[in-house]
Amino acid sequence: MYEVTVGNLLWQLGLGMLQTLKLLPLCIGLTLAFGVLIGSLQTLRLPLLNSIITVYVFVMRGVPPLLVLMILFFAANIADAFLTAIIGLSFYHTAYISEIVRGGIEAIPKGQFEAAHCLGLSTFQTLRKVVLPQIWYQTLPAIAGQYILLVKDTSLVSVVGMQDIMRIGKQLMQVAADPLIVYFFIGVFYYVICTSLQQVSAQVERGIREKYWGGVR
Amino acid sequence: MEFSWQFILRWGPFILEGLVLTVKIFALSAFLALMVGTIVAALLRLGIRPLNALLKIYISIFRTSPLLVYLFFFFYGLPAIGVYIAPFWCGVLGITLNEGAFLSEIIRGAIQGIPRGDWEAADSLALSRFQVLRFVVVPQALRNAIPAIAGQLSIVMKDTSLMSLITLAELTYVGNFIYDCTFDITALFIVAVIYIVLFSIFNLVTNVVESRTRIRR
Repeated sequence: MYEVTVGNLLWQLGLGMLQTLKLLPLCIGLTLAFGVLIGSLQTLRLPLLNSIITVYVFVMRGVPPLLVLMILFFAANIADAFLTAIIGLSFYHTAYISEIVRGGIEAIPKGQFEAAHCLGLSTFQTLRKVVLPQIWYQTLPAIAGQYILLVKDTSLVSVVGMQDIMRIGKQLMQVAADPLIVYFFIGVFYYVICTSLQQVSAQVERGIREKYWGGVR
Repeated sequence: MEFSWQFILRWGPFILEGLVLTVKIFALSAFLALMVGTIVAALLRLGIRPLNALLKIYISIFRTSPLLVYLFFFFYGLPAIGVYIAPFWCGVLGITLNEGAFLSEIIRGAIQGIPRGDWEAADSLALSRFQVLRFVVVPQALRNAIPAIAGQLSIVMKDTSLMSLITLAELTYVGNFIYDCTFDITALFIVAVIYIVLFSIFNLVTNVVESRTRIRR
């Protein structure tokens, strides 16, 4: 048994932190892209597709993310842990983002859809040019909240075999380090990420407000 | 993967035991989290400076770090300084503190939504600050916040799946255990379906509570 110094501990945790951080941009990009796609598809009210999406969202709201990751890990048998983690987390969180986007689209007054129709815009053009640019201001707080949950769910990816910060923390603890200190540092790490995400969201919100309303609202 | 009655007969009792434990953890921690959330939100309203600062710190810490970190902190970390808590109570404590912070934010928002006139009317009836909160504001706020609270409690239900990582044999743990014994993914799917059924039952109960407590004008 050998001693683990604080510097050593921080270096090891930093390595795990990089793995966790590597997940985030990809997950955020994927959930946003698919969330917007699925959310807009749902407002079109296509017969079969709509019920499939509804079932998907319902299932994802009912099942814990840990179980989603486990099922994906055991059933899909993807060789790469990183890929499994990304697919699992994105699959789970896309359902929530799509619900938020759908809510945002449905909050746009009906007159705008009619006006766009009168101007001869196609459904796609209406969504792309009229509706989607408007929903961000309203939905941003909800989306930011969901991404904070996503960050917190990245603590689960060690169950699919990723060497993330939780896994490294556990290993360090088993070697020699004091678990109290290890989990304190991990807590601080997540605290920093989540609060900075909140700050970014507040900044973006202010940016949107200034761009569209000239800072009036 | 194949579904057979033999499988159910062989592993059913295990799954049932896991289900009972999941429901137990959920009921206890949901109740306690709701208590903590309500009390913290009400205390914030009393306007005592140092207390407010403490509560703000509590909320920001527990909202921005994953539950898993707290569970491991209680489960692995506290024994290192001689505090032993049973895994069950580790779980309940972790969920209560974590979701209590979220619920307190929801209830605080609902309290802010109570019109000024109600506060003034209660004041002019000579109710004390505590009585105003206890008899006038908090009951109304809780009723208005039912949908948001229900959403958060459904997250509590999913949080119970993390207990499997601190050796509590609840549903997810049992599903994983059966997979380890049989290399048959069926168990995990059965567990997923049980979670969805639990979620649906919870939704139904929420709807009943909501329609019962609605004010008829």
